[in-house]
Amino acid sequence: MGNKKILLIKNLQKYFNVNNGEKHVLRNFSLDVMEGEFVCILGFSGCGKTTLLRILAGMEKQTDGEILLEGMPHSKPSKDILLVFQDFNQLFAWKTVSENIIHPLLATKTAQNRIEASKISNDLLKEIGLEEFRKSYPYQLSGGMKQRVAVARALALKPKVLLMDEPFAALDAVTRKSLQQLTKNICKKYNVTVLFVTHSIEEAVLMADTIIVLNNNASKEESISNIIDNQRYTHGDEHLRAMLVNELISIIEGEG
Amino acid sequence: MKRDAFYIKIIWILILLIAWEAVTRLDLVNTYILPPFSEVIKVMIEELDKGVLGLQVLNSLKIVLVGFVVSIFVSGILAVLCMCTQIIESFVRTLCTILNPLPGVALMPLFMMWFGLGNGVLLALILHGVAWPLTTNLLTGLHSIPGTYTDWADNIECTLWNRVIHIYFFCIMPYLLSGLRIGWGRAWRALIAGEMVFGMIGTLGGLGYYIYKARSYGSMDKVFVGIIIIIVIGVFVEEFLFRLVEKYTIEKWGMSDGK
Repeated sequence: MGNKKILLIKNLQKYFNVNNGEKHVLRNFSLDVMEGEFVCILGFSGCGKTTLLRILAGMEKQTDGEILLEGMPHSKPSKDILLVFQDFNQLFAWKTVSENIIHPLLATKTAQNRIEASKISNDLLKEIGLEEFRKSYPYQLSGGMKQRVAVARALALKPKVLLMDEPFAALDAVTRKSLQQLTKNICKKYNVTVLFVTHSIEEAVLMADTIIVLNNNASKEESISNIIDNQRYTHGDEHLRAMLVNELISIIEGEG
Repeated sequence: MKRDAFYIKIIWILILLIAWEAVTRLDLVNTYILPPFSEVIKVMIEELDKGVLGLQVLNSLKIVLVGFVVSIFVSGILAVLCMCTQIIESFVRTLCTILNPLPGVALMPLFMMWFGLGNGVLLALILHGVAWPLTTNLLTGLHSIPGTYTDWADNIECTLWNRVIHIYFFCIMPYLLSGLRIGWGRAWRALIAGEMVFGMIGTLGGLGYYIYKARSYGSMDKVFVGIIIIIVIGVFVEEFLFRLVEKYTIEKWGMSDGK
């Protein structure tokens, strides 16, 4: 994790007009994210986690507040901030696994030609352990494999910030665990800044450098920076992990 | 399973043909009204050998192909216009609702007045048969494009052209093929009906005119030749060409059978 602030979110507000009234989803949400930081955003259903990511990706407009990416205002969708969705069917069904990675590389001119794009695609597929599936179509892959390809497809474009909206939520426990570790490692390797939305406290503790708890009415946020030293966790400090999970549960219950 | 169903269909067709031959050979029916199948095939070979029938079949296929391409073009433009504003979509959907159930035969007198007796009237009939169901299907397809696809396209700042040729076209493929299937059936029927009603168009006319002429001369064997060719072409396109395109596109990509 670097010392440079890459993403600044200042007093972000979002409300929707519902039945002649206003439903506040985000209220004065502020956050500074460091380059290469892995931030997990925890919270109840409907507390605005997905809305926050969609605003950051430029897919929705905030009611008020400002987003600065490397000091510059950011309001439109761009390949600098990419979103990986929860939906297993986010890959294009008519393109092979490899073509799903090659298409955005060429569309965004990240790769100059097909040969370069193929090389990037093959390297990434090797990295996520799906090299032999490069000619498969998405329907021939399991849910976990599809999500791995979706992460690889985003990483191929070298985004400054990667947003992930509960990408592993619908997976079984074993697949989920292996993907958590893989995603964490690969994002660190590519030095990508990540904002990862999850329901799972365990997932957040395992993956995050920083955990943000969005409370139910989104009136305030708790940030527990550097809550865990992941190196220590991977060495099996179960006691530390259990302590953090309990601490987070108490924060969420207190606010909920 | 699909292969079994295919063989079963072949067996049923063979049974029908054997039954046809049997009832005529056993003099159970008047062979003038229903000539034996073997006789019909013999006449067909003679007719094809003369060359005129082959040219008439080509004429019909040429018109239906041109009509089909024009219809796809018109439906495509209508669908794109509908995507531009809701007012146009509402208008086009109303047109589809009104005109889709209207049989082309009912419009023949009108088309004859408007376009005269020429290929124009047949093209208008085909256009009427294909454009409405195809446009309706295209609109359904365009509205069914998953949000994750459009969000991703926004995210990587895809140009409109890139979206159209890499995303939208493939998303609507199942709807496009189903619309074309419906359209083909209607176009083929409309063309044969048109050719039979309007008689010879051009120097030779088409397959419908061949049947019309055979009936006028009382050659029932030739009428059956025409009918068999219509069936063979219809089945070839529906069961073979469309199946082939589906097999190498939407089935290959897991976009059919709810995969």
